[in-house]
Parts: sequence; structure tokens; C-alpha cells
Amino acid sequence: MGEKRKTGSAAKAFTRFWNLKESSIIIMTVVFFLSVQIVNNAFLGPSNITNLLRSTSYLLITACGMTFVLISGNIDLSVCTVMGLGGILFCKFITGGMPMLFALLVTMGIAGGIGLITGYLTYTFEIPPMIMTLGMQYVAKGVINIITEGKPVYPLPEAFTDLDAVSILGIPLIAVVAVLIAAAGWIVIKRTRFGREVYAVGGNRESARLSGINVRKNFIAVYVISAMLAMFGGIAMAARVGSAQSATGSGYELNSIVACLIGGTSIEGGSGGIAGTMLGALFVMALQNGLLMLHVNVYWQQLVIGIFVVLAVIWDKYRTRLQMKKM
Amino acid sequence: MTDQKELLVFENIYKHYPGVTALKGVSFALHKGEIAALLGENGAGKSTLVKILCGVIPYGDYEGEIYKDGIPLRSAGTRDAVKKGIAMIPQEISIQPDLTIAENIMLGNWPLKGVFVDVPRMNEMARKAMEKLDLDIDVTQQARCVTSGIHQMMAIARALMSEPSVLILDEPTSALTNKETEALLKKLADLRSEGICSLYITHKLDEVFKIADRSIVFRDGSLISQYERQKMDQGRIIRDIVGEKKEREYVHECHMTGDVRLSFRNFSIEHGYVRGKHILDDVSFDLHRGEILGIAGLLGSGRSELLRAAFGAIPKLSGELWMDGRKIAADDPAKAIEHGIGLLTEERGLDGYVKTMSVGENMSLVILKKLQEGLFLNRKKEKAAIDKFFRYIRIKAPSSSTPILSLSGGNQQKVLVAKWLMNDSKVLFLDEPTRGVDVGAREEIYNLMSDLTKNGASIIIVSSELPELVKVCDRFVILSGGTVSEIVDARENPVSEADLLAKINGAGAEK
Repeated sequence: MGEKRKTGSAAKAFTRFWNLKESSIIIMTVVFFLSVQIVNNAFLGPSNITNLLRSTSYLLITACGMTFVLISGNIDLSVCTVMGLGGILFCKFITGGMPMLFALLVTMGIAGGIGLITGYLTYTFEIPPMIMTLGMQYVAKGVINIITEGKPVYPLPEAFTDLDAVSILGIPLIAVVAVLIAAAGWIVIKRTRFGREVYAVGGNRESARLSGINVRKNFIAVYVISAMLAMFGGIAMAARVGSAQSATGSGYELNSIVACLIGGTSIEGGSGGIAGTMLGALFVMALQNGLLMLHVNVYWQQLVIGIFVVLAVIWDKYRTRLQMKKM
Repeated sequence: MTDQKELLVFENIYKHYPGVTALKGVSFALHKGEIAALLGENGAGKSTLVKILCGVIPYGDYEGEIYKDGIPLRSAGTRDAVKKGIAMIPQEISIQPDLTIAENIMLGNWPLKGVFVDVPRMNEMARKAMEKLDLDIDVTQQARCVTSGIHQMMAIARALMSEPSVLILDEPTSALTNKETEALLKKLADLRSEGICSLYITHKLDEVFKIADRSIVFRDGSLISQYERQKMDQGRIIRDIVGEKKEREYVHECHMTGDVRLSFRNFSIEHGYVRGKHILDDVSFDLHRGEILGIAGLLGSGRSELLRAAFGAIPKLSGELWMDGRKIAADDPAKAIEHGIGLLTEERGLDGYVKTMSVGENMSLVILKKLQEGLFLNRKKEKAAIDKFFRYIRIKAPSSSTPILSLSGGNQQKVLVAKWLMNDSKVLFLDEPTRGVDVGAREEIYNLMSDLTKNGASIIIVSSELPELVKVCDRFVILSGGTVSEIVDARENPVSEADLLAKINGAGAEK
């Protein structure tokens, strides 16, 4: 009797796990970690783990913003250069003598402006988000070049670069911050009216509008969040590198999208979540790191990541179809 | 009837769908060079018959036989039907607005020169095709630059490219102005002399009287009557279309009071896709507390647009909305909702439910503001509100967290009604509330409407189904030619379907 109940609840737990949107990414991550660890036991060693956490953090920060954008049915290709611009602006401010906290606020204000422009124009003129944010990508890149003339901002005050070395209970500060950001993102999207509205707008924009939801406000808000997090990531990256480089952030727009997709957020809008994005970001970085540990040629990494993106999406579609059939 | 003139003979056609028989042994003939009008209510079997004829339902999927020139037709598909001389102009004509007129007309048959399109030859062919319809027009301009009347002509030119002997037109004039309609009808009469047989589906009786050589009425899957031109009679045709209706379960109770709840004043709305045309001009009427008001009019008479404009879903040229004696904004759905107005849209899949959300999430969408406490949504309160209405409306689903997509059409519709009830709506705009809804759920929706009005709410209903309007409404606003042609009070003297149909058409014919 007791035995029976046990298998019953185990089966139930399995079904619940299976129906989780994140099940595929959890299985993939665990299997991948174990296989790499078997071949090279330095993979899960303390130094590599710290390394992995650190590199995951930057991606997680931008990917959180991307999650909001994707769920609302939009996409943000400007993340890469906005991230670079954030680092450059902040470092210009502090090398110019501005207090750090104030510089951070000003940079975030500029990020807010960028998000506002993107969201407003996208909604008002019905510009396809891909085009609008591609334009913004070029604009931000242009501003970087105008400000820096291609030269990195260097040297930076030690009070700033030292922040990178801070660790809490052995965990790098940036990882703690990234997790806090993700947690806040999770709460906002799951527990607030704004979060619910983002899902509604992404699921059916017209229905949302006819239900009294201010679609324009939601568009602006998700782009503001994305730009702010991108710029914040750029600042953190500058602290890490010790200088603000004009090329910082390149590739982060696509990596963020990939992290979201692998984490089960739909590119069509209306579904997904931060929990999946956390796992997705971890998986993307672990894949790059793990392939190195497996001594796989660097040139093969992107090919493998590409395959995993497609597999994750296929898995998601297949699972949804199975669920629909059952009903 | 001489045999040699018979072009198409339908012999005992049956078509069964799971649970429904759409055609119950239909037999009739069409002749060379005649215009036959196919009439009947929605679901009478007209479209099924047309689908069979033009190959959408291929041979083998229906019973019976169709003979063309004495030979069994047996189309394997739409392409095969076109090859056999049957051309169809669908209700929603598909014009690619960015292609040129010539490209549109020749779509699918672009003449080639090697691997490239032979543009001069294509333009020449298209020009000739339009000339045949007495249209001298620059075929190299983009299709978006011309009116929908020209679009309709383009669709006809395209259909005529295959040199058909039978031309099927499905409500071709619903998007046309009166002048364009005249032109189209004249063209059809011309085609008659070329021996082409036109099968003309319409709800507009005045057009039937203008051009049809014969009227054919369908009802409940059977052919009810055929009249030659000289024997056509409006009253008789309407009686044939409507038929004898059995008593239904829902019994209407009038809860209407004398207080005006909502006042529409001078609404003018631009036509959605005909440039420069007003679909509605200067429309005014009142809605009373506890009233169920029906808006009756033909397809394209601006019924839905009126509701959508008042709700702020689409822009309007002018018009004021007064609620309880105060002017209120009518340009933003959020404001309309604040004033307690709700809109159940015509196509729930398009702008009704959010398909990625659960039943409950769809229900609470309009009351999110009320559920917000501090920074967060009060999820306990949300759950309680959802559960209350989930039970009250008796939605058939395992729970309120079930995805809305897994529900039947009727239950999806009930969820959307519940959404507006949760906001304590004072005024409900229902646009085709029972479209794609099964009979059981229909009755439930009618009863809900009755309960609502009993509690002082007011309802405006738009429906293509006259039986439905007759059944539930206290009064009717008849829309025709872009204005209110009549307001009918059915409280003292009940209005029959036939009366209503005559009013809709009669008003149209005067114009």
C-alpha cells in the first residue's frame, strides 16, 4: 500500500516535471554537466565553477531584459551596442570625476531614454521590432564611435575596478547581483499587474488593447527594462575588463535571445519566463565552457549552440502538441 | 425546359458532416446564359453546395452526381474544377495590394519568357481582360491604388481568364458602393449573352429582383423553391427562406425601462477598406436601462463598426456617446471599460481571447487594475473572483487554469462573456455572440443576457442570424445605406423574421 502510493506520487511528480515549461532545459543541462564532468573532472572544480558563474552573470542580466521583450511579442537587437554604450558612458562620467552612484543613475536615465524611444516608435509607427532595434543598434554604435573615436576609456578609478574582485561567501559579486536581478524580474513578471499585461500583450495585442490594457506603455516599459539591464551589464563588464571597450557587448543580443529560447520563452510572444532564462543562460555559457574543457575546437562551438537552439524549440513545440492532444 | 440548354445538373446531392447533414438530396439544373440567385439563411447549405461545385469538396466526399453538358463532373479539386470550366469568386477576394493590377489578374498564369515573366505580354493580356469588362484602366498601377469596386472587377477578370462556362459569385456586392454594384450587375447581364451561367449568392433581395433569371432558395440543407423571373415575389421568397420556426426554449422577458442609459449621437465612421466612403453617416439612437437592442442590417452595413467605434476600438469621424446624461469619451477602450462598457468581439480568435493564457487569466484581464494592491496582484482575490464566475457561467473545463485553446467554441465564448461580467459592466456590446457556438451554449448565453438586463444592465446585440434577433430583442435599429432607416419597437407588436428581413431589404431597395 505504502509502496504503491510512493510510486503513484513519483509518477505524479514526474508528470508535473514533464509538464514544466523548463523540463527540457533542466534535462539538457544536467546531462551535459554530467557528461563533461565524466570526461574532464576539472569542469565542476571550484575555479571553473566561479569562472562559469561569472560569465553566465553578464548574459543573465541582458537575457532577463530580453525575456520581457520576447514575452511582449517584441525583440531587441540593440542589446549589444547599448551594452557597449553603457560601459563607455559610465566610464567617461567617472573618469570625468562624477561620483559612481550618480554616474550610474545618469547612465540608467539614458538607458531609459533609449528604451522609451524604441518602444514609442515601435508602437506608434508599427515598425517591426526587428527593424526598429536594428536601427537603434546602429545608432548606439555610432554614438560609441563618436564619443570614443575608437579608443577604449582607460584607465578607470580603482574604486570601480576593485568592485569586480568583491565576493560574498566565495561567490563573485556580479553573480549575486545577477541572481538578484533575475529574482526581481521573476517577481515582476509573475506577481504584478504589469507582468500579466506583458503576457497579454504578447499573446494577443488587440485583445489586450480591447481589454483596456495600455499597449504602448507596455512596449515602452519592456524596452526600458532591456536597455537598462544591457547598460548595467556593460558597466559590470567594464569593471571586469578594467576599461570600457567600444566592442563590448557584441554578440550579446543573439546570445540573450538564444538563452531565452533554450529556456522555453517563445519568440512568438505570450509565453516563457525568467526561471527558464536563468537555466538557458547557464546552459549557453556551460556549453561554450564545457566544449573548451572537452578540447573541442573553438570554431565548432557556435555550430553546436545552433543545433541546441533548434532542438530546444522543436522539443517545446512537440511537448505542447502532445499536451494539446491529451486535452 | 429543353435538354440541350441544361448546362449543369445536380442529382440527389447529399453531404454529411459529423453530426450534421448539410445537404439532404438536392436536385436541380442550371442553364446556359442564365443568372441564378442562390438564397438562404446562414447554414442553409448554400456554401456547401458551392464548395462541392468548385471542387473544394472533391468528388467522393459527397453523395450524388453532378453532370456538366451531360457528362459526370467529378472534380478532384479546385484546379480540376477550373479546368472543367467552373470559376469561383469568393466572398473575400484575395487581392495582393502591392502587386500591379495586371499581376493580380494573371496571378498563377503569368506568361513566361524563359525563366522571366513576360511583363509586356502579361500587361497586354490583363488589359484585354479588363477591356472585356468595359474597363479602360492602367493595369500597371498597384492594386492598392484602386477602389474595391475595381478589385471586384479584377477578381472577375481573373476568373474569366480560364474561359469558364459557370461563374460562381459569393456575395460580390457586400463591399461595394451602390454605383459600383450597378456596374457589376450590368456586367453580369452582359456575360449572360456569352452563354456564361452565373450562380449568384446573396442576401440582398433587391439585387435578385434586378438581375436574376431565377431564384433558388435553400433551407436546412434542402432546396425549398425555384421561381422563374416572372413568378418571383418578395413575400413568398422571404417565407421560403425563413420557413416555419418551431418554438424554442428561451422565452423572452422584457426588462426595459424608460431611463436612457446610453445615447449614440451623430456617429459617422469611415469605411474600412473603401477609400472615401462612409460606412455610417450621422447615426443616432438611444439605449435604455434593461433593454436588449438589436442592430439589424445587411453584411457591410456598418453594424460591427458602430459598436467598435463607440467602444473606441476603431476611430470614427464624428459622434458623441452620452451615458446617464453625461458625455463620455468614446475613443479609448480603457475609458469605455472604466465607464462600465464591455465589447464581445465578432471573431473571438482574432481579438477576443488571448490564446496563450488560461481560462482564468483571460477572465481577469479587464479587472487587473482592481486586483492590484500595492505593487502586486492580489492573487487570492483574483482566484476567488474567477472561481465565482467560473461556476456561475458553468464553463465546461477541468479548472480555471486550463488553457483557453482547449475549450469548445461555446465555452470560449462563455469565458469572454464572464470577463465582462467580472467588471460589473453596465452596458454590453455583443457582436455575433453565438457565432460558432453550439445550441446548448447559445441558450445559456441568451438566458445570461436576460438575467443581466433584469439586474439593470443594457445590451446591444449585432447578429446576422435574424431568428436570434427576433428572439431576444426588445427593439431594433435597422441600418441601411449608412444610416438608421427605422427603429422598430417589438415590445407591443412582436416582429417576425420575415418582417425584419423585409425591413432590411426594403430599406435597401429604396436607396
